[in-house]
Amino acid sequence: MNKLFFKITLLIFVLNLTAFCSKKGNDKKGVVVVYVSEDRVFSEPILKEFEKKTGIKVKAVYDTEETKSTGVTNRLIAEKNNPQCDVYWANEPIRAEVLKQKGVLDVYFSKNAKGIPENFKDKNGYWTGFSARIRVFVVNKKSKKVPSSIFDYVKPEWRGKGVIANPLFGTTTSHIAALFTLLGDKKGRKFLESLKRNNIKISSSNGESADLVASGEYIFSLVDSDDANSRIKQGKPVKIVYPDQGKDDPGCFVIPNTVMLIKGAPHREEAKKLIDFLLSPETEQKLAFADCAQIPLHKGVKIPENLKPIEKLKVMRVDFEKVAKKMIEIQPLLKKFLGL
Amino acid sequence: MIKKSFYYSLFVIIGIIIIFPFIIMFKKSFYINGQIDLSLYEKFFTSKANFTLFKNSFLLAGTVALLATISGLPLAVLLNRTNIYFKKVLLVLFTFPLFVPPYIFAISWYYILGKNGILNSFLHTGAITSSLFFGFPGCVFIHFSIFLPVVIIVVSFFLKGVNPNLENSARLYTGWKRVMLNITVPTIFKGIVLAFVLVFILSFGELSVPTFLRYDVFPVVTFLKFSAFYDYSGATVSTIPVLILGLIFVFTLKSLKTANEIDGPSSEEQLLIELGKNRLWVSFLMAVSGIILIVIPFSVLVMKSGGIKNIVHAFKLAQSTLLRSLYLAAIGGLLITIMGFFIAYFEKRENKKGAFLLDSLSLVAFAIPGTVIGVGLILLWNTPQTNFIYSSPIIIVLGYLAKYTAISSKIFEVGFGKYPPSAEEAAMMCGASWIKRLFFITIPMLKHLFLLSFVVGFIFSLNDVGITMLVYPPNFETVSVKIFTLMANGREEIISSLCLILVLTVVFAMSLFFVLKRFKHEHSGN
Repeated sequence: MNKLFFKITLLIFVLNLTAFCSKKGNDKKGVVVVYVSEDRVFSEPILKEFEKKTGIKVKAVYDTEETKSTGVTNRLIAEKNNPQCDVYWANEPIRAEVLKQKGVLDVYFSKNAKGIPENFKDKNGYWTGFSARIRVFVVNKKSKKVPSSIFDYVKPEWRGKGVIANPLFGTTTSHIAALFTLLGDKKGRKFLESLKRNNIKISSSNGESADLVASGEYIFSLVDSDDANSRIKQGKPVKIVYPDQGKDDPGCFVIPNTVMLIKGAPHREEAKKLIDFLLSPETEQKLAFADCAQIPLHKGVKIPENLKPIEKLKVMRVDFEKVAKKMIEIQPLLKKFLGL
Repeated sequence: MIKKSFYYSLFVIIGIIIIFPFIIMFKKSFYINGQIDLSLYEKFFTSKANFTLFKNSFLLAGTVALLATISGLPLAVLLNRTNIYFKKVLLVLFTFPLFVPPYIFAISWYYILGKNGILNSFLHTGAITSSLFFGFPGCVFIHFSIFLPVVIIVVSFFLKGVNPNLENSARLYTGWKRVMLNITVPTIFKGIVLAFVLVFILSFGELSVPTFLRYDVFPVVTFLKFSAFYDYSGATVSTIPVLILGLIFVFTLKSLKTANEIDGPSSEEQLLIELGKNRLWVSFLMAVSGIILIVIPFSVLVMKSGGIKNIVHAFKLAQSTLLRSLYLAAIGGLLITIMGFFIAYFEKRENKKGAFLLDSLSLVAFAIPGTVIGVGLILLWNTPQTNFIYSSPIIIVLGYLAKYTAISSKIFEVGFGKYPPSAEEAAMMCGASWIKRLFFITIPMLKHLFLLSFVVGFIFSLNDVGITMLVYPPNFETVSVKIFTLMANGREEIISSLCLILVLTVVFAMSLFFVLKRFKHEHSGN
């Protein structure tokens, strides 16, 4: 009885194992591999819709919060000589520039890129921006005073009251690099040093920063608009403040999502279809109405009432190519800033 | 001839799985731009920042190991040698955290101790508890909760191996306290040291809790160097302290065994301490400790999941992921068991030096953070020629094998220590081939350990995050990775529900083990 039970269990296990390990016959057709740095809760529904609409199976690798946009970027660089991925959906353009510089990307001009402003796409067709986030302040409602500029981080009245995400990862790195291109290296360095002196807390991510402000541990933090918006939708006691909107202020930093074709992509045609889908006004509208509340770059796309269209904001004017180069240049400084 | 061929094949296979990733990583760290360059090492060992990180790691691991050993020793004695109430329930309760991913504990306690946590709602102590939780004290508390079972399990095992005649003879002349102090504790001293070293190594290499609680330790740095700076070589160099600790661990383990071989559980009746009038309050105290350390955090998870509807929704979301995780863990558990068995067999029965080397290296690999192993796997297997491995779930299983084989080999070593080779030798003298001896004597003799090794390997594989996060092919993520990827703006209810599902899966696996064990016990008459 024991032996029979054991044999049956083993047979079931082996049959299931074979089914699990075997590749389906039609796997090589209608498959696209995408690496995604955009938050999974927002990106996964879009990818599932693409699957439903086109019948093309999407295989995704998502970034975790702690390594946001660098974990997957790393994989792409590591896999450069043997690419596994077809499309990379990044949540900002800087790493797209880094990948372009490292020769990981291929050129593709999508038909849906035509409606997107020129400053939000690579002129040589290596990457295209869509659905942007704004770098905003998330501020605890209990605070009577509200910051209005990124430079409030280093003012004495805000000492120990602010938190910022780890500048090694994601949009915070991009923002710091953008500031360096605007201010110059000397003032940029001074800003970083002042952050430390002003007891600004470093969190592991924008999401965590938003949670710390929502919980009241800190008054304000510079985060992405989707992080702030999701906390508002969750009913947390926070509000959004758009920084640096004054006449002489630099404006707020706008970060579009970017999509790009990987060089040597195993499923090139499917990859192009996915890129076209992601760059469509319909996708932008969906992302605008999702919790991430990302602002469309195509004109005339319907957005929720609580969002400000991009034409109504003072936007920081930056060259993303320069920002990407600066990001690599300031890495030793960032390491030093974090004591690494 | 068959045995020799099998042994060499095994050596090569295990060598590739465990040794080659490290060779590749270290080779890269010595060669920069095609030339030998030790500048990374020089920079590393002269860096003040690294000294601080090392100090943090050492302090955390040392504190956790000390507290866990001081607490775990009396707990193990109480659970094994006294007549406390609900002994089996308490034993399961106290050992359970070992099989749950550490970050789940961190998340649960954050819901309780965070600034707007549950405790703050009642006592308004959120500011204090939050500031203590996010940092060294929080890390100590969480690691203590997770690794206390290690001490209890190891010490319990050694307690079971104490010769009862020694204690019973001494009991004729003196009370149980002196017997404990003068006979039992000195006899199990090697177990206490082993438990301390094991907890130290595990705490030193654990990444997810210090990352969550923002406490900078070495494994976090390794991860950052790889993730943020594409710096594989730097990540490799930063594993040196952990490697050294791993070697110390191996040396401790090996030297303890040569000094005094482990007997394994004794079948004779051992000293049982009658607690008398203290029985009730000691049992109550233990139950309260268990409730605080284990039941409360899991209850919070249940609460935060927001009800059955959310759990069902999370299950539907994670269904295919969970199934996949179970398969990968089952394959991992099976292969870990097979590899561990043969390493222990060739080391203990055949005295092969190669097996000794593999065993030592697998112990070092166990001590090293999973992220480091992940880096090695990528460097080794991401080539056009080995793409069929790299782009398949095989790469995840290879990671499990590299990291967790040591656990299985230790389990089987105990088995080989308990059963003398006389039966196999007698069979050999009668002309039985090696294969026949293996399948008709050795394996049946140790069959109960196969099940144990499989379950333990399964659980560790299921909970793995460090390796899986770095190497999983598209669409082959596991539940643990899914939880991590959803933490960014994911709903609390869904994350809590997924954590709960993972915990319940572990509970199910452990329950299955106990049921099968009991089923076998009742039907075999053993």
